[in-house]
Amino acid sequence: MIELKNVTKTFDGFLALDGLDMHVKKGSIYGLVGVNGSGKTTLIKHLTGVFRADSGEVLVGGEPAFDNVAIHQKMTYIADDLYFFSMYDLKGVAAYYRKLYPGWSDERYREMVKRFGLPERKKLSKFSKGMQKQAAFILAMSAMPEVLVLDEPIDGLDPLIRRMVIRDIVEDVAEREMTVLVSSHNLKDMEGLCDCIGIISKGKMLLERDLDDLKSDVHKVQAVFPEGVRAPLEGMNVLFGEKRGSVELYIIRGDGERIENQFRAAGPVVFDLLPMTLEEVFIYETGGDRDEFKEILF
Amino acid sequence: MNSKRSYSNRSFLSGPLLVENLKRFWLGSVLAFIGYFLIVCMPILTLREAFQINNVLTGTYIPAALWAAGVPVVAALLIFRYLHQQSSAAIVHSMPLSRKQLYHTNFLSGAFLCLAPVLLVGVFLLLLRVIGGPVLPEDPSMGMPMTDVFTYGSILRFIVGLTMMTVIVYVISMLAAVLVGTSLMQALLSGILLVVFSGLILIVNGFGTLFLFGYSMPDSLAKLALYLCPVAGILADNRWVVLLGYLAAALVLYLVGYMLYQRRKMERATDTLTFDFSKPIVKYLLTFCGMSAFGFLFILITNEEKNRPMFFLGCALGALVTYVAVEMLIQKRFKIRGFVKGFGLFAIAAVILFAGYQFDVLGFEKSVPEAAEVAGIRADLVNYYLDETPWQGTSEDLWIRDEGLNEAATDLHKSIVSAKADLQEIDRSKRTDTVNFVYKMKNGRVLRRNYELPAGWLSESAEYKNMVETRAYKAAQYPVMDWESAATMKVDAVSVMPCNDFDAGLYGKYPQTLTDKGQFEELLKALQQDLEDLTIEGMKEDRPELLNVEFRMPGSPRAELTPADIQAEIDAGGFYSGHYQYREVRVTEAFDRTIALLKEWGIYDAVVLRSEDVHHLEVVLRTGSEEEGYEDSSVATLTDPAQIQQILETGLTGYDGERYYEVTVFAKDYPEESSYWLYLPEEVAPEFIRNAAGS
Repeated sequence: MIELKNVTKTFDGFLALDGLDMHVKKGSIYGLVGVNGSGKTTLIKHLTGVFRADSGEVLVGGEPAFDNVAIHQKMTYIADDLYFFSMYDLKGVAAYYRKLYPGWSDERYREMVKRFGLPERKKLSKFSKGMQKQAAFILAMSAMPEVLVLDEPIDGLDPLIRRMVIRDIVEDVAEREMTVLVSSHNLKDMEGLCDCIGIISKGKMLLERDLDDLKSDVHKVQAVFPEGVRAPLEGMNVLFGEKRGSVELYIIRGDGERIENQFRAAGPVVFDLLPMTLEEVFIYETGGDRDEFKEILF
Repeated sequence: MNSKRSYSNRSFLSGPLLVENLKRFWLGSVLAFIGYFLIVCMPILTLREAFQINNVLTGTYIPAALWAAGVPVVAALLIFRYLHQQSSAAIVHSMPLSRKQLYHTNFLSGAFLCLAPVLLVGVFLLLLRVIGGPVLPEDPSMGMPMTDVFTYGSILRFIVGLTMMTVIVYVISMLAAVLVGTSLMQALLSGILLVVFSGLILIVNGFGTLFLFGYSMPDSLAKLALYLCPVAGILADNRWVVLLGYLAAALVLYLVGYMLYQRRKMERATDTLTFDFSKPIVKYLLTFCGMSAFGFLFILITNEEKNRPMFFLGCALGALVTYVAVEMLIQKRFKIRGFVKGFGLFAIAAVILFAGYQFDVLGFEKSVPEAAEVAGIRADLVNYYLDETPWQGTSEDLWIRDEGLNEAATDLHKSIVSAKADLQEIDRSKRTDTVNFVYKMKNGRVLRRNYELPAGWLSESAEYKNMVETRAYKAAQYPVMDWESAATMKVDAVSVMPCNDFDAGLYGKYPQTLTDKGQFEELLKALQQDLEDLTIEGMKEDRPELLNVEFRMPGSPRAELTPADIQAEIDAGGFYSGHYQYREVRVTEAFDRTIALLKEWGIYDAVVLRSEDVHHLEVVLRTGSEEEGYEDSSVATLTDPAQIQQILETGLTGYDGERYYEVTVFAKDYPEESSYWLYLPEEVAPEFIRNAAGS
């Protein structure tokens, strides 16, 4: 659905995007993670047609995104730095969006305003930052976009609202196959939301992975063996291992069932195959000690 | 319910954006209308005076023009504000609106918001005209036609003028909005673009005046300077052709703005300038203006028009200050980068420019045309001696086409150029003479030179004498020379009037009007013969004229009036200066035949001041100067008619030496009153005066 091919962008000699590639599948939720200044917002502004790439291609649904009204009609964008016309209230902006976005749903809008409990007649400039984010979310979702782009959406939202937002997004992805690109400077924000992750650093895409593949491929094993018995690690791709007293801990890449069978065959006193957090997966998958990852992980 | 609207890339305009802009900024339009109403409608409504209405509708009403210039600048600031913040630029351009739609729609909505008040004012004025009817001048002496000044046509032209002014200023402000990254810079650049090109011409003209001997601003350059500032151009000239010219210019600027908007990098929001190509242009343009402004300011401070060292000092300081300020603004930092290279380049260019002027590398000063290349010479060649009223013929009439005059004028011109070293340094605290050479060359080019000369230089110039004594020159100054007869010129009255330099009535002198057409012809012939023989001495202005002869004729009829209409209007008591034209001849002692004729008719004594009309003269010796002050010492009180007559016949109208006699002439019937002064330099003063003064 979204494809960036070898995109380069320079700002007054500073290379903001450096031959960047990205692929987002239709109906997926793509988490774009990178430290501040890594190029996330620049990438998003190319995608939303605000910036024009110096070179490379930015395609949405196979069409160039820059200055393309047809694409923008199907895409909504919530910026990190929100902007509303001064003197406008939520109802006024909704009326404007209704005319601009062919897919606009009054039904969705009314339901969301009621659920989020926002005052429609209050000027948006008088809203708190969190309320402004909610308002922007309501407007973006009511346009029933095929592509939703969210730049640092979690900042300023309380946990309850955050849960509602995530639920709405997931529902639209499931029901309408909406494609979502969400950026964050912290990997933890992506937990439980994304099904694909891209890590960007210094304008380059360091890695792009499908989370299901990633998680099903890396396993955390905790085991205690009788004295004199060694852990059966032959032929396994061990990413990490340590022993604390009698307890041995391993992070192993490979098929989970095979790992379990091989361990149980050695007759452990205790054996546990533990779930891994996204952070742990990335730490062990990428080595974890690289500077680019430290800030997004911890 | 889902909306089904869809706007493709192909459409020029966005309806939703247009409506949204109108909803957001309608209040500005209302305020603009209130401003127009107070400035334009209220004076007409409350005073309803022809003068006021004429002043407003002829487009010379500066408050309306300033308002018409200010409203679109503010409108463009508001409408294009989104371009100058990162957040708003990002949101607006991520919406389903193409850049094409944004640009065109923002133009349309802004233009509508600015023009709606103008059109409403037009409707209001039309209603006022329908209800109130025509407005005629209250007083014929106002010099206005006794015709309706509040016509539908004048209202229409006024509104179209304001409309055009609004459109072009709005387009310029739009262009500024695209070129810059902040609203403050947009406002500044809008103002700069409105005046900078005229300013550059004035600067180049100032350099010419400062450096080049004989430089005179060409008419074409002066006109260009006027028209390059659209507000001033429309204010001064709201003819349809001019308005169409501005419309074309607005269209070009609009398209340039559109192309730039398509290429504008939105990441440049908040930058001072958004296009790299514009940075050196703006930087060096403003530095050049700042340099020149400081240079001329330093000259003003020293009060010496040609003080070049001070000018250069001011230029150096101005260039440095402006360059650093502009670079800081563009780079958005106090410690600017690339100063040495950037300023060095400018300094080298400035030195080359000024060296070019200083050493006249283009040979401007020595460029004197050969007589054979000259097709004609302007009639107002020399502003010296003669106080002719401005020529009222067509522009073509201004050119005197005479080979003899061409020869004489170019000879004089060459003599002035060759005497440059002596003539360049003149004391402006004293009287100076001006010679204005305007040649129409055979190749169609107009060549203009203007020289300010020390008083006295011309009167001693053989070339000058030769030129002013050519028949063609005299005929240009005295058109009566070429008249076949007074009858063919339809002269309907001739006045013989006392000297212009004093309150003649106080001395019992009054104009005498001739009505006999035979006398018209006789007087004309005498004048023509005297003028044929007239030499430079008879033209000199430093002696008061004896009298003036004024011929009155019906003026050139206005296009819409027949001579019968004009006559009917005059008969009805109307008066319009355009209904008459006058030709005046200044009669001096050299006009022997004319004086003899007027004496024969008994008119001469009635208008010419003589000793019999004077009670006494008081003579004081004045020494000193204007700068250091004068000191007066009483010399004599004269009552002897012979002495009085001698002084009346030798006194000058003015003198700016450091020692001379001032003579106050007291009227016979009012011995306590005086309105006439004569001046006697030492070399002119009669012996009895010099003796009385003890010199």
